Amino acid sequence: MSSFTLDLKHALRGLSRTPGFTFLAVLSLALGIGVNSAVFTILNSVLLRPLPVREPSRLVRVYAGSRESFSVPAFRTLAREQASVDLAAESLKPLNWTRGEQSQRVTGSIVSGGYFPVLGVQPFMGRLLGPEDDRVPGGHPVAVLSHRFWTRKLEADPSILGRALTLNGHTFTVVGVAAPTFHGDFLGMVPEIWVPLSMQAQAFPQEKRDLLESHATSWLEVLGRLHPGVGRAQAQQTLQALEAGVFQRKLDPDEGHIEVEAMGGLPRAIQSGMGVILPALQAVVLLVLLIACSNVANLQLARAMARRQEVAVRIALGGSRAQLVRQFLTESAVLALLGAGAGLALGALALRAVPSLIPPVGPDLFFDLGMDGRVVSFAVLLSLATGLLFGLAPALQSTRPDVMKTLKEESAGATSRRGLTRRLFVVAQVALSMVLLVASGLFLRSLAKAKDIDPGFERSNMVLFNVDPGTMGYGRDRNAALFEAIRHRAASLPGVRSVALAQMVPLEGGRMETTYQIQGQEVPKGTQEPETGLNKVGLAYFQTLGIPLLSGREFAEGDQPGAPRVAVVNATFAQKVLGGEALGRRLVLDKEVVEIVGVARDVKSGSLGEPAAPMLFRPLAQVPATSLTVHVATTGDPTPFLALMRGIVRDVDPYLPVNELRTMKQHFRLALFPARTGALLLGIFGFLALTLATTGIYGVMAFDSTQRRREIGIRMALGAQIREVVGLIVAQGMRVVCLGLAIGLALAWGLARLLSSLLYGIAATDAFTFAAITALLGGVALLACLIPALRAAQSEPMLALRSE
Amino acid sequence: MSKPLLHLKSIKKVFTTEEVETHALADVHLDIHEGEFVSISGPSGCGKSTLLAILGLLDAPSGGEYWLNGKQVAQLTLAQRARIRNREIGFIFQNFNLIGDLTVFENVELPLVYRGLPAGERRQRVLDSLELVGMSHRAGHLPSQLSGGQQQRVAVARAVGGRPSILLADEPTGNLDSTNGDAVMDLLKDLHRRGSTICMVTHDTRFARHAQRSIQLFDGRVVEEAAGEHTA
Repeated sequence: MSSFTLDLKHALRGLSRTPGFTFLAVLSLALGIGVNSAVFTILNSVLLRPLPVREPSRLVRVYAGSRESFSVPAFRTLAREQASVDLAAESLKPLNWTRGEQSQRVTGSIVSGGYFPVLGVQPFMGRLLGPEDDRVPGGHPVAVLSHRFWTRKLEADPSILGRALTLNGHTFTVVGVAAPTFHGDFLGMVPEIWVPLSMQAQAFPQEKRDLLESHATSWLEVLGRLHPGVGRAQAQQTLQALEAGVFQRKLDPDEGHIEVEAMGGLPRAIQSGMGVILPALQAVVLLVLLIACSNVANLQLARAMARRQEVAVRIALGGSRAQLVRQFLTESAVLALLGAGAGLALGALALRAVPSLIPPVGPDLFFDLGMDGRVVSFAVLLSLATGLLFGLAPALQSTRPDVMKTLKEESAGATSRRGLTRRLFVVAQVALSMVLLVASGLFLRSLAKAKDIDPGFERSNMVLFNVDPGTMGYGRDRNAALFEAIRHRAASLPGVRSVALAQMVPLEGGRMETTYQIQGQEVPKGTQEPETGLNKVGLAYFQTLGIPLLSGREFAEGDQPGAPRVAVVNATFAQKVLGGEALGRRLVLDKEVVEIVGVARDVKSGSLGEPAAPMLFRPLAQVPATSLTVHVATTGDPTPFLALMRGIVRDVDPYLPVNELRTMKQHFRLALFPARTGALLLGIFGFLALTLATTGIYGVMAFDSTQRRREIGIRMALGAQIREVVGLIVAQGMRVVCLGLAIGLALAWGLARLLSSLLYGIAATDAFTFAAITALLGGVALLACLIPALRAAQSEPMLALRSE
Repeated sequence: MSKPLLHLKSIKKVFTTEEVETHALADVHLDIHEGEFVSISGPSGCGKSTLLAILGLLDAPSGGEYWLNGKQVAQLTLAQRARIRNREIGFIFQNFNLIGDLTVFENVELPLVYRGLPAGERRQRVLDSLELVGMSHRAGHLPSQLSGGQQQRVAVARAVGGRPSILLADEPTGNLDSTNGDAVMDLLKDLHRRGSTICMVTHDTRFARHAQRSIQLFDGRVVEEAAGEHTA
């Protein structure tokens, strides 16, 4: 048997003979590794994992300067006139899928013929789309299904090939199902059905322009595969050389130039945001791991103290320090690997909870959060690195004992040096826990505040749903009639107080804007026209949403296309833009003169945390929109009305899907999603940190008390009272804790400022949070010191003295 | 007379704390020849343990020369000392110092593992050593399953398994009752008869007399050297 095998055998045996130590050490590591693995899995899925396609390293995204997307003619020219990169194009669009008498919205993707060949995706069955499907406009009514759609919505029907699907009222023939591992090339937004670019007019009948020929509308995301031997820079140069011909006009200097970037799973705008958030989250969970590792190091130091006689024997028998350190590190490695295994299991368990974090309303998001080889390697390497790093100090310390003294004594008191190391670990634990707990405290307080924020509109008794008749080819007049029918039917239901239509729902996340001028006030040359938030709303909108009008009126039946153009502004617009005198003032919008007929109270339109901003409302009768949300205010609990809404729309048009049906309360929860998720995650991390730090403090104090049994026995034999002994031990423990608290407070004070933009209604340096967390951590630490102190002080002095 | 196996010349050991210098050993001269059985005794604090630590290369002298098997070993690195200790010295302790997690066999095998001997040779040597001390039937037991006398016999087997040049025994009977103490002394005498060189620290004059030569230490100095009753 080799020395290593013997080391391993002895390590396994030693760990199995001390199950308490092994359990605590593995649990600490597992918690630290678990949260790190879970977060790294997300980071891996979002930022690191290449697409499951052929040679993903050669894939690129192509951006048209700041506009990012391309028109069809621009894409076709680029694809045709160079030989550096094979290009493909796509655009995600919702599709109405009609099955029997029911319709539902699915995520569609319209792709150029080169899309699947460029990506190198394989079909699961049938075939994928190719160049032959992208030749004759309107001539290729074929579709490819995602494996997920086929299994979840078509029950994995084996005879699906050749069957017809009704999409947006048109018949498409299913020609294939994509490989199960392929979920599209954008993370989260998983296409369910792919149709060829040549079928644009059929797939998107609401578009009145011929998008296949229009240079003016840029709507295609372009990706490509570099030819062998061609680099990104070279491909970019080649594409930029074609800019003049591609764009028909010179690019505005502000729009930049064509850029070629490595393929990432996220759109560029989101990628940059996630590129900050996820590494920051990873840094937070690394703090948890550091706290866990401090625990393990302290446990190992305590164990090494208990084993110092064994170490001395090994040294006396000729074991070199290197051999002994290796023995200790073998144990650390075994612990680390056990921790990694348990941590991966915990991480996988935690990841199961991620889908429940995704809001129940909104688009169907899917994240492939499987743990691949990279995650397993990360967890194993991280645990080995931390396990060995934190095992090294105990190994080095315990392999240089005072051999003769140790060999001659049954036990000895802790040396001050080892005590110092253990206390330093506790200081670090308390300080790091303080940082995490303050962060989670701030988020929890912020969440509580956010719930109390008055959004300025009715949020209790209301049902919302979206209808998009444009996807079914409705024209302007039919559209208006349809919505009027829906509004009328909903309003006539018993228990419905009021019904209104609007293009945007408050707190939806997005924001429409428009530029404007105040009539009679020229915009100085060289400056841009001012912008304001915009919503297009129907009759009784303000009444339905319970938004008080401060002056004037809301839109009326008479505000028709032929009548004078009108608008309602919010209080901030009236105050900031018009100096408080808004009624009767005129604005110029899109070359039309619009009169302000009402001033409404401010509402939170974009997010709960936003400051009040100017907002302008236009009547739908004068500025129509195709996709509208119906707001139904009820006199009581709105939940029973959810089912009724589908019936109302079905009665009007059985093929129209009802999208994003929810109550306003559910919608409000969506707005709280960032705050809730932040509070939940940081709450979990903070709780872990608190638990680990408490066990760490308790462990050190319990061990110290055991080591000082003799001293305590002597003190008590000399007449010390229990409270004096307890006071002595607790005071020593709390000195260490207070040092950790002080360092933690300073760190938290500095780092909390980074969170200020994510908090609602409280400052990042909220004194209450800092005081409460200090009291919480200090109180728990006091308990962790008190329990072992009481136990030590209650032992019989003579037993303690004899134990030496 | 032949060249000594172990030669100490003017050995000094000074412990220095922040305020005090303690002279644990002062000008110690000592020769131990191959095959000798030497006992070192003296009152508590006279420097016995310090001397044994230096003899066993567990500590380095502050001054003087220490020759072991013809090699100057007073100032070696930790790794060099560990190697020589493993090959040349066998320790027997008062409190046995067996490792509780290891079986009797594994305890005896441990110094041979550190030496890097092949598994087959280790096994043979362990079995021979256990046979020598009459403990081969307990090879699979843990130390906690043995009596004090049995544990000390295993410790002796561990000390001789590596076939060292010298056995250093530190109060080997100190934790044993008289019957077991006598048995262990008989074992040491038997080893000596078979040719082992033994240096034993003891404060028990009864056992010190078993040695060929008895050395008395007082205040860190050798104050008396006398022939013992035992002869090889």
